[in-house]
Amino acid sequence: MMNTAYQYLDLVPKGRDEDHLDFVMEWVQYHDRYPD
Amino acid sequence: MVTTASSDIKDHPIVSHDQWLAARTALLDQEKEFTRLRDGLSRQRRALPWERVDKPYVFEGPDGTRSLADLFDGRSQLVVYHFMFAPYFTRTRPTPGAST
Repeated sequence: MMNTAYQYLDLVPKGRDEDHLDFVMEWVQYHDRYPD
Repeated sequence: MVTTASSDIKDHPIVSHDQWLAARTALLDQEKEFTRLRDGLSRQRRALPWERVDKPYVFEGPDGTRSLADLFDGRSQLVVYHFMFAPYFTRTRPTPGAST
């Protein structure tokens, strides 16, 4: 799952946009806990 | 450069754990090189200049007519996927159970 998400993110202007994260996987949630 | 053939499966070499691990570790260098190259490509892609979109595109969504700006819904980025139906497709909607 992570790999495909990053492949989409790598196509957009902001890229992975992870500079503000403490560690790169910080954004990962349980699949039903992501905000809309 | 390896080409695939059905003999790649039938006659595939089977080795000890240590031999497999050595081969797998050697491949890892290639995989890391690929990741670095891919990241470099992504950087170049993000560095491409932009082109202004002036055309007043109009879209039909589930909630009615929308402009291109409307599709952003206040967000900073929009991904547009052009899903093309082959000429023989008779359905106007995706099949039940299909997900994007």
